[in-house]
Amino acid sequence: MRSSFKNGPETRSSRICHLLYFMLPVLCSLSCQSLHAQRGIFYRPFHSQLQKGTIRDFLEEINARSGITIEYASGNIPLDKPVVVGSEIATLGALLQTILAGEHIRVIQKNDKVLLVPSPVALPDDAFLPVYSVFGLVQEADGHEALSDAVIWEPSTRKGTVCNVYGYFALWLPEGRHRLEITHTGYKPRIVDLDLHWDQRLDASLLPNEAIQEVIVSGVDVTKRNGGETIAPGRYDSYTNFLGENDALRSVYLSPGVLNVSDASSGLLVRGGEQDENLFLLDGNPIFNPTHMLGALSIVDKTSLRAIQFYKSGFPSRYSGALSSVIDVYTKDGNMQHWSGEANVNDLAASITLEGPLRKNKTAVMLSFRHSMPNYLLDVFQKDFFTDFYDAHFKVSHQFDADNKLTLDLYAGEDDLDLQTSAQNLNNRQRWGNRMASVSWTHVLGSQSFVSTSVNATNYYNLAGFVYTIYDTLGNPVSNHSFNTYSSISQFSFRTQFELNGGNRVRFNYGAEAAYTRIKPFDSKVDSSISLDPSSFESAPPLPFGEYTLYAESELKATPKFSLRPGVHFSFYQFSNFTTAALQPRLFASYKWSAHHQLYASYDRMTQYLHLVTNPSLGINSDLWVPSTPMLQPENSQSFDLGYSYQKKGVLKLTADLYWKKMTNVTNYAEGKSFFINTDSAWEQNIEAGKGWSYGSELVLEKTGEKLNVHVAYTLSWNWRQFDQINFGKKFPFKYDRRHNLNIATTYKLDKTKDVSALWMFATGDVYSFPESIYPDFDNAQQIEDPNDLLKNYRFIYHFSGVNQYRTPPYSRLDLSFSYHPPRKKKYGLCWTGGVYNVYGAPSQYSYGLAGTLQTKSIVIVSEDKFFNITPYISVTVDY
Amino acid sequence: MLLLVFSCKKSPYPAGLVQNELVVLAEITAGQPLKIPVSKSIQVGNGGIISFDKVTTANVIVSPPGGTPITCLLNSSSFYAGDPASVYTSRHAPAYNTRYRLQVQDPVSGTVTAETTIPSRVRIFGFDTSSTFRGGLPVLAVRVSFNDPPDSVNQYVFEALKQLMRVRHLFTYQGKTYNYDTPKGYTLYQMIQGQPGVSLRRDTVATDTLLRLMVYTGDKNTDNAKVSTLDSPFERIFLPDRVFNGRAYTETFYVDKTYFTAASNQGPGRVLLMVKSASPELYNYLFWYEQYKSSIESLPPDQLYSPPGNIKNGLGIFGGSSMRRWVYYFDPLY
Repeated sequence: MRSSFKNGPETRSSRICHLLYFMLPVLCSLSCQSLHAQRGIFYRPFHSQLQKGTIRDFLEEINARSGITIEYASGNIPLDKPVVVGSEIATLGALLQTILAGEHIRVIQKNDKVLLVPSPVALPDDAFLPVYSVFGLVQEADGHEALSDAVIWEPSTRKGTVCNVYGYFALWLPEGRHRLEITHTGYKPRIVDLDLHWDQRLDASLLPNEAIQEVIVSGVDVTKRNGGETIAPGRYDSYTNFLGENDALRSVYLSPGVLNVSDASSGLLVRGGEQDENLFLLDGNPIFNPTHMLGALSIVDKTSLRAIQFYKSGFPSRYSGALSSVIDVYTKDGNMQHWSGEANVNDLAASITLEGPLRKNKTAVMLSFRHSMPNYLLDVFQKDFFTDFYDAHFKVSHQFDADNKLTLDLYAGEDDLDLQTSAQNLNNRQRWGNRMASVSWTHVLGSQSFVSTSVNATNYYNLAGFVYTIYDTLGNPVSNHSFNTYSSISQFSFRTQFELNGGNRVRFNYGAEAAYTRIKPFDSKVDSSISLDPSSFESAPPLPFGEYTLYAESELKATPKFSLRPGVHFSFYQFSNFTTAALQPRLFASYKWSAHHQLYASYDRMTQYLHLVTNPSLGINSDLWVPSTPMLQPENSQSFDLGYSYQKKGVLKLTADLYWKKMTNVTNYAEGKSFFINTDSAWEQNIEAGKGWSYGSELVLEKTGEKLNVHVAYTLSWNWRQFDQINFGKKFPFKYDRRHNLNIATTYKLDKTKDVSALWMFATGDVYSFPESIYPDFDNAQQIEDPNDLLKNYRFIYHFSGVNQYRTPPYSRLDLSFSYHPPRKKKYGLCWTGGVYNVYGAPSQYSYGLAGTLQTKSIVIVSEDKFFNITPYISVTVDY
Repeated sequence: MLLLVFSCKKSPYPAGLVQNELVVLAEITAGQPLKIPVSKSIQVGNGGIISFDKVTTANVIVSPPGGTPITCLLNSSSFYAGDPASVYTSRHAPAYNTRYRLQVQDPVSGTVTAETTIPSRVRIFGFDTSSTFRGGLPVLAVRVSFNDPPDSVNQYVFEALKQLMRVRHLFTYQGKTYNYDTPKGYTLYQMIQGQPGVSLRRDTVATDTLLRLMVYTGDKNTDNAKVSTLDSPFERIFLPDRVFNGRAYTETFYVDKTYFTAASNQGPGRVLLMVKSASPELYNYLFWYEQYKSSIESLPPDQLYSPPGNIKNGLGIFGGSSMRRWVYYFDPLY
C-alpha cells in the first residue's frame, strides 16, 4: 500500500485505476474467445449422407464435403470398422466423435487441417464435440424468487456449477443429449432433459419441499468455492430464537471464531477482530449498525430473508472495507405469481411480511414490517430495560423480460432504548437508526455473462446520553450530569459487477464501485439532563471522503479435484488532500481428493478506510465513525486459513480450520484513553492506533439424523494487541481474548409435528485490567492542592502492573425451546414456539470496580450483568 | 491438538500477592534545593483503609556520576506534616545538563533506584503578561518566547501555582529580635509592650504550601489536545518541540485569576508562573498524570492508565527539570 499527499485526480493510483478498468473486460473477453477458437472447426454444421459405413467411408466423405482435411496413417486406425451414426448428428465434431469413439488416437488441429495420430490412451468422450452453454436462472416455482447456490449437475459428464446470488448459472456441456439435475436445499430436485446443439437458455423453477425444510443440517456435495458459508432461511431456526424473535443472524454466532459480546454495540467479533471490522450488507448495501437492542437482535427479519452469506476468510474479491468478516444478507424480491406472506408475534416483537404480484410474472412487491412489543411482558423479567424499535422494508421488482430485472429497495429501522437502574435514576438513553435505498438492475448478457448494476444510498445516525454523578469531597453525590453525543454517516455509491463464464473450468468476476461518504461528527456535550434533540447539538465540520474500487478474480478448475480462485481488489481513497491506495490480493484454493474429503487454503489482504471510535466505559453505544487521515492511516489485515472438510452428505459434516491474522492501525481499543471528544479539530490525536493479531483453530461437527440433529462448534484462539502508548508498548491480550469457545446445539424430533431444542454456549472469560496498588498523588506529595478539586478524597494513583492481566470467570448460557408445527392447512400454516432464554440465569458480562476514598476501606465490587435473565417466551408464526 | 496443549498454559498473567513498594515522587530542578518525597504503596481491594505510611527510616542519596553523593535527610518540618510522603531534603541544588542517580534504601521496604538528567537552561528572550478574559473567565495571559536548543529533543511544561505566605510578627528588644507568634515571644511582648523602641512588625515568608492554578491554551501544538478539548482547563501545559526543534517559539497560555487574590478566610500568597524544560521521563509521567486526573472523574478504575514511572523495584518518578520562574504579588502583604 502506498500513501501520499497529492492534489488533483491524475495521480499514479488513479491512472492504474483507469487502466485496470478498461483492460479487465477486454482481457476476460479475449480469454473466453480463445477458449472457443481452439475447437472452431468442429462446430461447423455437417450432416452425413451416410447412415452407416466404415470409418474410412466417413472420413473420405468429410474430406470431400466439409472443406477441411483430415490426415491419418492407415495403420493407426481400423479404417474398415463398420460404424452407424444417428440422424441427429449436426456438426462435424459430433460426427467425428461418433465414428472414432474408443480409438487410441490423438487430435492435432492446424487451421483447416486435422491430424489423427496414435495415442496410448483412448480418445476422450468429448475430444471432438462442440461445447455449448446452458445458462439461465433458477427460481422458486412459487414466486420466481432467485435461488442462490442452487446446484446444476450433469451426471454422465460429471460437470456441474452453482448459481450466483441472483440465481444465474452457465454450464458448458458437449453437444448431445443430457440430463440435468437441479437441486437446492429445501426444494424438490428437478430433472431436465435437453438435446444440446447450440447455446441454450434454461430457466428452471423448483418447488419447495416441506420435508427438507425441517432438516437442520444440509450441504451441497460440490467443491468449496470460497471461504464463505451460505445460511438458508430456517437452517438454524431451532437455535436462533431470542425471546421468541427468530434472528437469522444469530446463526452466525454458532460458527466457530465468532463471538457475541454484550458490551459492544454490534455484539459481533470475528477471529480476534473488533466490532467495526465486520461489513454488513443488506441486499448489497452497507448498514453501519445492523442491530437492535445494543446488538442483541439484528435488523434481519426472518420473514423476509432469502439467504445469508457469511465470510471470515477466503473473501471474494468484490468485498472490501472490513478486516474480519462480511455478512451479505439477501431478502426476498417479491412473489411474482400470487400473494403470500408470513406473520409472527412473540414476547419481543411482532412482524409481518406481505409479497405478491402487481402484474403477474412482471411486477412484484415485498413489504416487511416489524415493531417491538410493549415492554410490559419483558418488564416482568428485565425491569431496567426499555426498548422500542422497528424495521420497515419495501421492495418492488419489475421483470422487463427474461434478461432484465429492475429492483427498488428501501429500508428504515430505528431504536429507542432506555437503560435505568431505578425508576428515579435514568442512566442511559439512546436512539439510533439506519436508512437505505437502492435501485438495482440485473441483466443476463447472454450465454456467458451476467451483470448487475446498482445505485445505493445508506445513512446511520446515533444519539446517546449517559448520566453520571458528581460527588463532593466527602464522597456524597452532589448532582447528576449527562454526557450526550450525536453523529451520523451517509454513503452514496454506484456499483457494477460482471460475471463472465469461460467454460466449466474458468469463470471471471470483475467490477467497479465509486462511493462518496460523508461523516457528520456533531458535538459531544455535557448537560444537566439527557438531551437527545438533534437540533441542540452544534455541528462540527463534516468529514467527506471518496473511495473508488476495481476488482477482478477468476475461478479456475485446474483439474476435477483442484480449483483455484486468484483475485485482486484495488481501492483508491481520497480524504481532503490525503490520498492513498491499496492493492488487496486474495487467493483461495481447494483440493477435493475424494467425494468426502477436501482441503482448502486461503490468503486475504483487506483494507478498511473507516475507523470506529467508542467510549466503552459509558456502557452505551457512543460509536462514532471517522475517516482515515495522514495521522490515522487505513486499517489493514493479512490472514491465512488452512482447512479440512469431511462431508458425508445428509449424515455428517466435519470441518477444521487453522488461521492466522494480523491487523494494523486498529483503533477501537480505547482503554487508557479518556473520553473521545469529537468537537476538536485535533480529534485524530485522541485516537490511538495499534496492531493486533490472532491465531487459532476452529472445529465444526454437524450430525444429521432422522430424530436427532447435533451441531458442535469449538474455537481455540489467541488474540493480541500492541499500542505504542499503552502497556509500555508491550503486547497485551485483546479484551475478548477468549481462549476456548464452545457451542453445542441439538434438536430432537419427538414426532412429525414436535421437536425440542437446546443450545449451550460456553466461553473462557474476558481479560480486564485492574490496579493492584495505589500510591500518593504526585501534586499532594509536592504540597500542591487544587482549590477546585471536588475529588480530594480520591487523590491517589492507581497502579496497574499490566494491561488486561486478569480474567473473568467463564461465560455460559443455556437456551431451551419447544416447537409445534401442525400439518399445514390448505391456506395457511402455523408454528408455535415456546422456550426459556438463559435457563440458569448466567451473567453475560462481569465488571470489576473499586470503591474507597482516603481514610476509608478499599474494596472490590464485582457486578454480574445479565443482559436478559431467565426469560420464558412464546412465539407463533403464520404463513399464508 | 498442539494448540490445545499450549492453551493449557496459564495466561496472560497469574494474579499473585501484591507487595507494598517504595514510592518516590520527586522532581529535581536545577538551582533548587533537593526535595525527595518518599512513601509506600498499599494494596487495593483487600478491605484495608486507604492511608499512606510515611517512610522515615530511608537512606536517600542523590549522586552525580563521578561526583560526591548528596545525602538527603528526613525533614521533620511542620510544613510537611500533611504530606502523604516523608520528605527528604538537602540544601544542595542540582546543576544543568547533569545526570543524577537516586538511591533510596529502606531497611523495611528495600532499595529502589532511578536516574534522570537535568535539561539545559530554558533560554527565554521574551516575556509578557496581560489581563484578559477567556470564555468570560478573567485570566492572565502569559506570552513566553524562547529559543529551543538544536540537535536535542526538548519538552516544555508551563504551569502556575500560588505559593501561600505566612505572616510573622516580630519585635526587637535590647537588640535582639523575638518572634511574637511563639508562646515565649508573646509573653515577653506582653511584659515590655509600650516601652520605647518596642514595636510589633509584620514579616511575610513563603511556605511550601501551594495552590494549583488552572491554565488554558489554544495552541494545537501542545499535547494537551490529546487529553481534552483545548477549551478545557489544565493543570499543566505540555509542549514538545517536534514542530520547532532548534528554533524560536512563542507560547501563550492563560492563568485562571480566581485565586490570585486571597479570599477573606485565607492568608496571602504570591503567584508563580513557571516555564520548565522537563526530562523525558518527567514529561511523560506528568503528561499521563494530567491524563489520569482528567479521566478519573469519568472513567472507572479498570479503564484508567497509571502514569509510567522510572523507579526500579518501586513506583513513582524521579525526573529532572530546569526552570524559569516569575513571581507576581496580587495580595497585600501586611
